[in-house]
Amino acid sequence: MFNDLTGKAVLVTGASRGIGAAIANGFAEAGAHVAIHYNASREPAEKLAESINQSGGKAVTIGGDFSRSPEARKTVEEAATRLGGLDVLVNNAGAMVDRRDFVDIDDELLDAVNDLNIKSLVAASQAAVPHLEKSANGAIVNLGSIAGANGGGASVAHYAAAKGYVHTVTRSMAMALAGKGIRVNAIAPGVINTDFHAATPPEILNNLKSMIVMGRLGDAEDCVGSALFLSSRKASGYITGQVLHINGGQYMA
Amino acid sequence: MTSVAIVTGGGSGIGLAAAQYLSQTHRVICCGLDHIDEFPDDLEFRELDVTDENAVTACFSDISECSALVNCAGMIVQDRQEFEIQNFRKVIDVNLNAVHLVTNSLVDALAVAGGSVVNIASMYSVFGSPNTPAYSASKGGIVSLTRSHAVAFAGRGVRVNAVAPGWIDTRLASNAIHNEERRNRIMERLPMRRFGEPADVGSVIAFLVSEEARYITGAVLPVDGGYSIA
Repeated sequence: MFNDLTGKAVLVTGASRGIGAAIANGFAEAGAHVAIHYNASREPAEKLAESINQSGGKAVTIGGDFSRSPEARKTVEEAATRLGGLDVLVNNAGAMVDRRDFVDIDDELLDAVNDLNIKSLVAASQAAVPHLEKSANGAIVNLGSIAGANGGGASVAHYAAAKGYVHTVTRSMAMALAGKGIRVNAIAPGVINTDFHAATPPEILNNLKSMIVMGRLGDAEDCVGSALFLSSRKASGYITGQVLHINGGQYMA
Repeated sequence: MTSVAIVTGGGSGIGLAAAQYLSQTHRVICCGLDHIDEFPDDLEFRELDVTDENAVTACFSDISECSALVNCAGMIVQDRQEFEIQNFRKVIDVNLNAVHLVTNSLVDALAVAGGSVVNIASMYSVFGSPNTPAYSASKGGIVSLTRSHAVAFAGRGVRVNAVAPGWIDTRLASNAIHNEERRNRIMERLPMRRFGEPADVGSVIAFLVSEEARYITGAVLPVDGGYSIA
């Protein structure tokens, strides 16, 4: 379905674990050349690259601390150099940092969340533009969240608002970059069972699960097809500025 | 056994484009009032008025398993004629009521196959339309119906989503696209600076019914070159 991704150069940020790792692996299986960015988890990133390279694919790893936006720019430049250009950027790096009641959120937490989820996403995208506009398949896929649409829960306002920013900037970037032939879209996962939810209290997870009409939590693999779809010009060439929700029917019921 | 895909309004435009994508993986049955002269030989066509309850039941009486249903049959009445109540009723009947009717009549077969449904919303699901109030109301209704069917049928393993096409070069949009003044006005606002082709929507429908979209239900995905965000 996505055979036009063969040979394309793809950077997936935050790709050592969870959804990012699954997406990077999905691109490799579609024949793309992938740069796997990691921050703290060098070992799993290298393992993933090794397994891709051993099965005949092409993958490189790049370290970088996305709590500082200059490192995001540097990561993009390095990916473009090592892959010989860039066709697709998947802005997956991000985190909740902490769960905290709204009244206890301080500037320090807001700065940490916004530096990582917002500033580095903007910086990485800006750095990617000169490369993506040279591609016939230039595409950016941002990782939004159901929290960006519904406000998340009572203890994640800081994270939900940052993801709301991602949804909005996706639309802005789509308009700004359409003239350069770059499509910009987002995927918005619901409750995906990865390390991201390792610290989520079980009663909250159970409550969330009860709201999902498909009757199960999502897994990282559930997000892969949508990331590939929105990156493939053949499959989604007339879609830009959209947020595709992947949540098993969570927020309607 | 080859899995069956049913496309109402599959005789032309977006429906036919979806049918052609789906024919790579499914046995496709197109239904509708008519089809274009160049309708491909390898697709099956069944004549059907989707608003006729008995005809719908008869048309699908041999279908026990269905892995994809695309509700694409639709109409629009131009020149402000939708302000006449009989036209308004007719458009709602074809664009909205018939989607409920056809999906309902196939839901058992969809459940057997773990299938999924794609409905056709529109940019007019969100915008107001000065000249075609029934069309826009019917497409607004499609968004709610899509979510309701998604919630209603998830327990039976049936996913239900919608695409919301923008300006696609089909006979429904030809009035606007082939009028120079309107064409220029649309193009000015359209970030991707081109009208869509039916195939642009067909590929999205094929994705939504595929295993790649297995955790997506109740979603409405615009396919409009960025028109609705601009």
